Amino acid sequence: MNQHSGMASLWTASCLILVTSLLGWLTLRSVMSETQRSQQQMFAAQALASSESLLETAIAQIDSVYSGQDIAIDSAFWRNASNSQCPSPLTSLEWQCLKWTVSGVGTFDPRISQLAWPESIDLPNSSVLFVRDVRMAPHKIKIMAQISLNSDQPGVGSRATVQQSLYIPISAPWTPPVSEPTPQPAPTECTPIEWRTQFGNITPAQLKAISTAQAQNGLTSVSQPSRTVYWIDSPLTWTQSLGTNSSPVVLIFSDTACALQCPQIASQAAITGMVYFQSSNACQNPVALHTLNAEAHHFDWPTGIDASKVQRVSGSWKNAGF
Amino acid sequence: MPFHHLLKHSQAGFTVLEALFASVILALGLFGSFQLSTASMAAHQSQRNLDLASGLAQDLAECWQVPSAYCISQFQSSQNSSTLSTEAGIQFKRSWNTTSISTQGTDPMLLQNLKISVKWPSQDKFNSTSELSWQIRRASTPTWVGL
Repeated sequence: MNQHSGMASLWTASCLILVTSLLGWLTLRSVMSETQRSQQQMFAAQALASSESLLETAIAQIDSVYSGQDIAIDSAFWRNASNSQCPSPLTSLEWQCLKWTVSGVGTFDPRISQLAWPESIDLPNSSVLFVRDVRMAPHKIKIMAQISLNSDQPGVGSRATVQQSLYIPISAPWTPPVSEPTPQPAPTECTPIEWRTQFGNITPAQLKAISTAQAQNGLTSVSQPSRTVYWIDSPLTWTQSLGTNSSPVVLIFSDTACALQCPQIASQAAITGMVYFQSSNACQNPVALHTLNAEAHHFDWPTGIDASKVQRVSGSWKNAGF
Repeated sequence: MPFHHLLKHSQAGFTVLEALFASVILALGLFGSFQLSTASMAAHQSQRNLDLASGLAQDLAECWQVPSAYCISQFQSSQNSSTLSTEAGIQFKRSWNTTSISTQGTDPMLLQNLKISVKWPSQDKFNSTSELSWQIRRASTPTWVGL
């Protein structure tokens, strides 16, 4: 009987130990999982802070490229852009994408000095993507920064993506020309149409940069979608038909093209849109075209904006991919 | 049941050895359980401190990015550190340093880096401190907010 009592007390003590150990273990597990959750939340916040830092670096990079410089820098900045770098929903030719990675030093033109990246990020697994629509909105760049934390950080491998859009001074808000009653010039008189009455505040240098961007991205008269802005410096006779009623073009023959005599437009070449000669030499050549109020150079700007500087697009910040 | 039978049972009881043996095992179990609870509490407290430090760092980082009167005054003052205490008496010392990141010919204000450090007494080791570092950058590019 005594032996049975001993067994019972041993059994009871063992059960108590088991129960208390189980409770202790469950408590520890609970605390540990809470600790892990809390740590992961902190790592995610740290990764987000680093991605924001990289985004700010990219914004400052754009600002330094475009502020107070000749707009011709635009083509140098996008020199290594490629449509193949675009994310999957933006594969058509109008999208221009430039991937900025530290491992690919020389992404930018040598004239453009690069800002240093944040120390916390894992360089081979991080990148910045600059994206814009060269046809409809060449003045609006979407920047997407994607980072992974490096091994110096406690949350090594944590990833985050953040994006924001910027306005760049490559065009200007369209202002319709003020129609003033002007006396009709005599047929022999040759007065070129004033630039501002046709193009508003957008400058020749800006339209030239847009034309270069479209050509740089592979847009042509036969591509889908087609090129809409043509800045021509060549004095050779123009033989290509351009534009359609749904997609009229702007064809500008520059001062350079018109240095001696503006280029002629071949009789078989039909231009739908607007042809503009920067020189009075144009009057020597007859131009046959279907004149349309080409909107190829009308870009969507918010009302009242000062388009001469780099600005963030309000409400465009997102912490996600495309 | 006859009375003498009950008497015999009640007298049987536990021997001292059995009771001692059971008590030792129970004490070992309770000690282990206590250790687990202590470890849990320490881990919990340590994590709580890290959360607080992270919150303090993030709070300052966000303040730096928002141009409110309070935040501007905080960064304009010459003192770039502050000490905060929890209800448990743990002191967190927050210090920060702003640097310019620029290249040759760029405006020094174009891109700035804020480095925040939060220090507090360590739970694990006596007379040592834990530290959390936080960094954030800000470009001076304005946002178009309309007229």
